[in-house]
Amino acid sequence: MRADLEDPVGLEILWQRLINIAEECWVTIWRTAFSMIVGEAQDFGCELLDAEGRSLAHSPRSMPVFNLTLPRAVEELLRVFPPHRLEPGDVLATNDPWICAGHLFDLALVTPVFRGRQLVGLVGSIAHCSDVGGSRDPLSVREIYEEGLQIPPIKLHRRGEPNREVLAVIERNVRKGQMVLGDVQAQLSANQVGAHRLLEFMDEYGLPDLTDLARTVQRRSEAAMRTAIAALPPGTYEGEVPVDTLQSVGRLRVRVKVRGDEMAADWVEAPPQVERGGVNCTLSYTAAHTVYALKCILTPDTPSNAGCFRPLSVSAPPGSILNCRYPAPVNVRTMTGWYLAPALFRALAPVLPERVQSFTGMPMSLGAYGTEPDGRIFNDHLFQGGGQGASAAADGKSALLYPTSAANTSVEMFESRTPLLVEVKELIPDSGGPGRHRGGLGQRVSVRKLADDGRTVLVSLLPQGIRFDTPGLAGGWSGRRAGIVLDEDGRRLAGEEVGGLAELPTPKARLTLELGGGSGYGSPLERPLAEIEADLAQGLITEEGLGAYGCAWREGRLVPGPERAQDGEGLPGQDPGGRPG
Amino acid sequence: MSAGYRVGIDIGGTFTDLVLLGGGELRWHKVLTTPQDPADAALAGLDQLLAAHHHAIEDCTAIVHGTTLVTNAIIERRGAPTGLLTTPGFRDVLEMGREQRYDIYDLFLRFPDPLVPRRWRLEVEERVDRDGRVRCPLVEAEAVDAAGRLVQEGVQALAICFLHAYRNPAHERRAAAAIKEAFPDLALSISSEVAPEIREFERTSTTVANAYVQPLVERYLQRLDRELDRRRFRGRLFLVQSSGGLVAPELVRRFPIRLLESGPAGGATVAAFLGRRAGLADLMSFDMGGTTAKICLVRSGRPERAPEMEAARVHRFKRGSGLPVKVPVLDLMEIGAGGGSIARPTPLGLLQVGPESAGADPGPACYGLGGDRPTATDACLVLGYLDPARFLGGTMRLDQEAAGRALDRLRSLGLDRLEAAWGVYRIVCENMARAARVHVIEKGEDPRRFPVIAFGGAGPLHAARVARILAAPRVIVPPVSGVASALGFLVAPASFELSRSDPSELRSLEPARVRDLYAGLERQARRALAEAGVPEQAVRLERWSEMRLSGQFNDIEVPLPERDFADGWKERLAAAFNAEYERRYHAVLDGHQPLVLGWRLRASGPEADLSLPEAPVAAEGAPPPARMRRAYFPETGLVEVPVWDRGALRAGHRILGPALVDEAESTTLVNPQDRLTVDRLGFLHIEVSGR
Repeated sequence: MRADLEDPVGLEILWQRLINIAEECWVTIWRTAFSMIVGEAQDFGCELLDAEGRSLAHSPRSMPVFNLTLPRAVEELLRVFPPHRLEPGDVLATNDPWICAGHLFDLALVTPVFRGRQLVGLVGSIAHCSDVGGSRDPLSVREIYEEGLQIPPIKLHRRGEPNREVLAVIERNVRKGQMVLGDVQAQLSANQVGAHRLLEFMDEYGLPDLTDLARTVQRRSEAAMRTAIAALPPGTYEGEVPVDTLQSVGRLRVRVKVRGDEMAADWVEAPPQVERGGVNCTLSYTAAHTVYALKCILTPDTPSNAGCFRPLSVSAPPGSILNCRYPAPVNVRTMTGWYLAPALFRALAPVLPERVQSFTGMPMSLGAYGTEPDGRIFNDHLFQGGGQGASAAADGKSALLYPTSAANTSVEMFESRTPLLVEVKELIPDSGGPGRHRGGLGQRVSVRKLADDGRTVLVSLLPQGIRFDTPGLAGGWSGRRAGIVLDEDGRRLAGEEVGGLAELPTPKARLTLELGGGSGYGSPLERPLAEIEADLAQGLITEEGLGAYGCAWREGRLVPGPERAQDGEGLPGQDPGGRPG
Repeated sequence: MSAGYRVGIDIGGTFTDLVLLGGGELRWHKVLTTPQDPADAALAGLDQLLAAHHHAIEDCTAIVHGTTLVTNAIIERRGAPTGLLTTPGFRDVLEMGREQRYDIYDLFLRFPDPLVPRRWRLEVEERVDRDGRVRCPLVEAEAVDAAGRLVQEGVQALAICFLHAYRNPAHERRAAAAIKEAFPDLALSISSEVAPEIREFERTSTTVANAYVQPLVERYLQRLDRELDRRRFRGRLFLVQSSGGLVAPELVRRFPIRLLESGPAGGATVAAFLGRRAGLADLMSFDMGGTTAKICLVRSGRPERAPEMEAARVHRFKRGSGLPVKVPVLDLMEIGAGGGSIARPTPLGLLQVGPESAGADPGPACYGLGGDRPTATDACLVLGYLDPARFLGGTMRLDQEAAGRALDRLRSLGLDRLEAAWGVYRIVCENMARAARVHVIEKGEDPRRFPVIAFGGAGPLHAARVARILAAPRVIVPPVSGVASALGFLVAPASFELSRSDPSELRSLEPARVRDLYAGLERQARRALAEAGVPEQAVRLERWSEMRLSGQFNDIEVPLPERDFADGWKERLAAAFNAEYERRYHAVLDGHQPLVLGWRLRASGPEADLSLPEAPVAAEGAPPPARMRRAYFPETGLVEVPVWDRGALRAGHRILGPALVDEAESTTLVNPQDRLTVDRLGFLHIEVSGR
């Protein structure tokens, strides 16, 4: 075994086995989940940790932020339940946003793994519950108490016995409790599968514990991160993005300091925590989004574990929207946290132009809740993404979920589970930010009630990226803003903005989500005419959208304006620049 | 299908394999594939094979054919200009896909371009709701008009995919009928026929892929038909589907996408068949070639099936980077591990092998064709597992020094030449074993229970080590292991599989409705088998449902209790579901209703009667080895290892490893302490020790 750790062959095998075990946990949740948000959109993650609670491996498909917040939750769980208070068959749980994933929906379940009487590791999962009780309107709440059921660190199972009282409390406090508990069961099964496999793995390789293996893989990942940081010119880099505090548009500014082989990302400017509406981030969540973006930039190919993040530090002003204090509301913290990566990309763009990406139009989900005509309750989510930001390498993809690892949800599946009709799911022409590389297109999704049955359907929304533009990098333009429209035969039912909750009383009311486009990369004047013409032919841009590219459509042909000096004669299809790669 | 000679033809990426079987004879032949028109090599190879063994084509009662034509057409984008008609508001579903990033740390993921560009995706007024009720009627004239515009733009194939058409196909059918009348030459595919299952993206993707390859497959079949006719072939032509079942060309013309995994399916099929001959119902099929290895679990004598796969992945081994295709396939796990897999140091200072492959060009360094990066084949040569003078029956000399030099490129890892070679070999075996283990465990089985049947050029060389890592009990190397897929075609039964998505809670299910639904599926399936020449009374039907607990998203397959749909039928189905659920997830959940998502039917004809030449057990002990070769095993170090020629081994012979068995297309490796025996059919059985 010791030989294996020193040997590049043996270590690769052991390491991949750990990742595989985490993947097996992932597959178990996916196959047995009950809610659309977990089973179809895959909003969950699975991870293995060493006996001290440091991350060893996670499933390649895990939700990124969960991989990074789970170790934090485990640290706190182990503080409350130190190893001498743990027994085989115990399962720990919490959804505390300050120690876990930033809002109550995300429930962490952690199973300590024992070999004999010795704690050798932990298997954990976080999944987004389809409901956690509390208000349906995330933008109106003032305190976390309104956001639903809080589960401080507890033992959900003791020595293999489920705490039925706690489960009953959960079931009573949430909408469609059977579905929520079904997902909890999926998480429990996954942890169980992981614990079994981990022990089998240790038996197979004669490992009395995981200490040496953990130290070795974490050291390797750490070294890779240090090498990547050390390759950067030392210095301080700053980037900022706008952020919607619901009351106004504020600003997030990050200062990235590179010193030798360590990096500090300090959020030096952030609005104060918001009193009303759950857009506040806990520091746990802020740190996770920060280091996730840095890992994508610096060491995308290195298997992730605790070592990756040792050379990184994150800070944010206490009491700010990025480091809020209890009992601030936090339900829709993605409205803030998803903007952290774009700020970091902006900060590092001057030194790593090939490794960053322009702003990606944010995902918006639509959570539909109500009763079917036969009295059955439904509570399901329709997920979709905006346009991907462009990069130095390529145009953005149209419709992509980022920075989550989720999938969209099938329209037919959604319709079969809710009495709603999805009228449209289509790309929005001209929504991709113009640039040398164009941002991906956003999409439009409309729903209305299927029948006039006198039952109002409540739809919770995340109004993301509606009130400001986010310019692209290297001269790329912003993509089209997102929007939410509630109308009745074209007549607006809500004012400027719909907010966090829409009501659909009859089939006449139609709710439309317009997801933002990705921002462009590089000056649109440098986009080759042939590519502009191809976009026109496919209807990705229209004649109205040509202005940004310094072109116009006259007499059936594309005509470059004077600002496109580099086009020479400007004959379409004869662009001298051509397309690199 | 029993009398006379039958020929299996497997067109692969590099080689076209042919097998002739009948009258106690088993012959085979390998020719280089002709990518321009794959029919050229198939026909030339056929002529050569028949001539070499003095047979006339009139003696052939059947030709069974598998081909990579469809999969390559999609990968290389050589299909027809294709259009798509959709429900208003949904023409972009095809391009959006699942909107999911398949690698969470890679900001620059690439996705496959849709097979139909946006300008050729048009919307036609119509709408059906979740229950199949028409909300907005179809206007046929509009559909014909849209098709007309596409034809004018040069579109040759058209897919139609309307929302909820799996529930109510009327609009798709009417649109297709009207368009067919107006444009009889346009190839048409409708989703309610090609993949009638819920989830619009996957159904559209499948239907589009079907349309996309239809004209190409049509031309190919016409050419094959004409040429066979010209040669006075009077037998039947069959094609191998991804499910391993055979169908007549008529059906392939309608559902060409079902040929997607035609070749590999043959391998798994023959593994299952040979396993049954060897008395093994449960085993793992292990097919390793130059670029990839394919693993398929065989249970109760049948290869595992899956309802969908991904074609043309941007990242071959990354789930989510391809185009989903919902057709019945054998559930193959593909791993980027083959003889050509390239080894390299990672930035972390680890050794990695594959998934990149040197392919045939430049090939492994030892081929001497200009490759200088170390591959799995180079490692085998340096380890002494391959004989440089006997590769491919001695037709190709391997350069041992070039292999060694290539492996020296791994010195930065602190490995000398031999250590590097062993490292590469071990990683390749570990990669395959790991993938196999996950694949098997995902199915709720224990990999230690499954003997391994090894074939393909590189399979027998790696199988024993893979089996040792998996703690599998035994490795079996069949005769003609180098052309096993083509042989598999000859054992595959004619079969056709159909499904219907029809979600319903078990408790509210009306058995009469299910009975009627099955009556419709059965008519279609019987017609398909009749076209393949299967007599009515020989048709075997299997029915099963896809079930889950109400609210879940993944199904488990539950065989239907019996066919009468009578009283108590629902209760029996519920019991069968509960048992299967508990077996897989070790959990029983109260308070959730079982839900049936869809119904499936497989109709199959009788399995071909394949009689392999059989020898009596005459020999015993070990014959004298043909020669010795210096080879490395971690258990022994570098030692002189006895080598046998496979042709010299007789039923009853026993050999204790370490040992090597050479034959023209492959070498079988026997690890130290493993025991090899030869059975009456000439199969090599390796009992794996060290478990």
